Amino acid sequence: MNAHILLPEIILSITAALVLIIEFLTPRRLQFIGTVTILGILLALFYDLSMFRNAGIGFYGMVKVGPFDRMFDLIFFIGAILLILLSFDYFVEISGEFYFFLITSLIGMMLLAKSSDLFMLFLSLETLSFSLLGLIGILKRKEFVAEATLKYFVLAAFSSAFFLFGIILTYVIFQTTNISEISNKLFAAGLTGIKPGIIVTLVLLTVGLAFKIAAIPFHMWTPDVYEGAPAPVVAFLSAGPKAAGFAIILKTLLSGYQAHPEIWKGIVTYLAVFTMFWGNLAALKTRNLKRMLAYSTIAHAGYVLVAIVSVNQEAYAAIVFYMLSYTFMVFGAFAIISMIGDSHSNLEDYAGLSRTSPLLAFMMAIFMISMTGIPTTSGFISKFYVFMSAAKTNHIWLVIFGFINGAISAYYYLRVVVYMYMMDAREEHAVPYFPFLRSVMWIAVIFIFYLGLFPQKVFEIIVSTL
Amino acid sequence: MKVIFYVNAFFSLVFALGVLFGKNPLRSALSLLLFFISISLYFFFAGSDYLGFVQIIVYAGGIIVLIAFVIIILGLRRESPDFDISLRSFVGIILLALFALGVLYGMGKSILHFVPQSPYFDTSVAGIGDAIFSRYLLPFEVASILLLVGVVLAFIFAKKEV
Repeated sequence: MNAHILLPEIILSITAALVLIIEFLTPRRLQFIGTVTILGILLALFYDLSMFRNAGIGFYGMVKVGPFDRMFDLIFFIGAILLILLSFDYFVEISGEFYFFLITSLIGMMLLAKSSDLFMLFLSLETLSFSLLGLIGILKRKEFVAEATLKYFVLAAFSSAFFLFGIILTYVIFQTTNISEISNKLFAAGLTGIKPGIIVTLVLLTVGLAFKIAAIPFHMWTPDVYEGAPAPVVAFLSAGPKAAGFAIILKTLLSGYQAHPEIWKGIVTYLAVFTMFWGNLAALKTRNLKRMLAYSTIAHAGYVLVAIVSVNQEAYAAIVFYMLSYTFMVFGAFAIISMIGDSHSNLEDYAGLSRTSPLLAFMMAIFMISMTGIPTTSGFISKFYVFMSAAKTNHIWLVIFGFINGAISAYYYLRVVVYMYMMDAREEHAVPYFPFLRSVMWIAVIFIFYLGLFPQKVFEIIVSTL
Repeated sequence: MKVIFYVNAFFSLVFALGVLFGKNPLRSALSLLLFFISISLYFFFAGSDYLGFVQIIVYAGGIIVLIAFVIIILGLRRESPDFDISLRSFVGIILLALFALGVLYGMGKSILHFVPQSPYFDTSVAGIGDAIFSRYLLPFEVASILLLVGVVLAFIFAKKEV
């Protein structure tokens, strides 16, 4: 059965139960529960890293673990720890179940990246979606939170239905839900006779997945959820679960249907182009910073989809590198948004920030510049790897579209900088000192420059896991 | 046998539509009950009696009773869902029809190439227990985590304090 390969997940499940018990015994001691959660996550991380190079199949073919999947785990762990740090300063009074949902969402994401069976994939996807609902709606009395939670719930259920329908029809065609068996059958028998059925199943699966990564035209939930949810949760939402979404795409499309990439390449190409353009163009008109970052995260999903179209080893590594660097950028930006305040996230609220708190303005400028993709930051390097892999596989048009979009996105990212440095504040109020939010900001800045200036080593590690 | 199957398929469609278009919530719940029973007939046709009975006991017996209780406690009255055919819903219906036709066409084309290998599973009680504790152990455990998350979620959203 090979149960030990899921040891990190087992440790996290025990931590989740422990968190519920602690919350029951001593309610609302957030820092204590958060510390216990961090310890559990670090223990799981330790076992994850100690088994980093062990590849194996476990639980009767339900999970297939390799070093590459553990790379994804690393992104999820980083996101979870940064979210806990943000939560210490951001939330004044919430129930400790917040950390329970955080751990279960982590378990869901980790199992998503590792599962090699569509059935398993669906269950971990649902675990993830339900836990995210708990994270989004934890401040249920606040304005817009109920709307965000309900929208996420309805659309997650809707997309899961599509995904499930796709899984069932896949079972009808292949008489198995195991991804490696599907791949073997496709290699052995080919597409003769079953091509229309496979296209139907792939369309259904892609619709379900496109909801999860917020690709156009399945992005409608993103701006509202991003506006309503607490800022730290939004950062987590656009880092971890999005990376998990790409992990599933790699699992289903690239491993399951690797014998015939031509049948899904067309769909994903259109998805990538529309997602890039629509996300960037919609962000131009948005004057609320949280909504703007929602559209920007849609555009970023488009860039990563470009890497998925070019099916080669480098593209795999580029996706992981992109999500890693995006995690730091988005957490840095939302740490500052948390300091200024969720309800003050209009562009006008950032006017004159360079005078009231110059450090925050400077850091925000760095995050915006990195998201634009200007050299010396990790945003540039990650875009460079993605478009490099596309250029090497002769997707020149996608690269050109990518550059056009980079130029469009510069307008709205740098507009934030213009507001901070060149506009006058309507009313000046000092930003309080938050130690944990600031520590997240510093961690993000350090890693943005580390990945931006010395990317080679990290990239080589990622490539070596393939 | 085939005739019964198609008659049952027809009625399950009718009951499903009854859930959607029923004006009285209680009547919708009743349609849902009949729909679940007709679904359980599919399991009997497939030769898995155990799953058929579980379907009736859990869904028809348990879930519908819960739904009926909720309707009675909340005191839902007759609702008149307005199905105005605006342009938006019209486009939606057409797209949905195209989608359904596409799925039917694609699957119908491929379905001729199937080699059914029956029975897929041993669907006796012992066989299902065996599957849950061997091949499907991990999904079973993950489902328990999922249910735990669902319970805590319901608790969080239902309690009064923040």
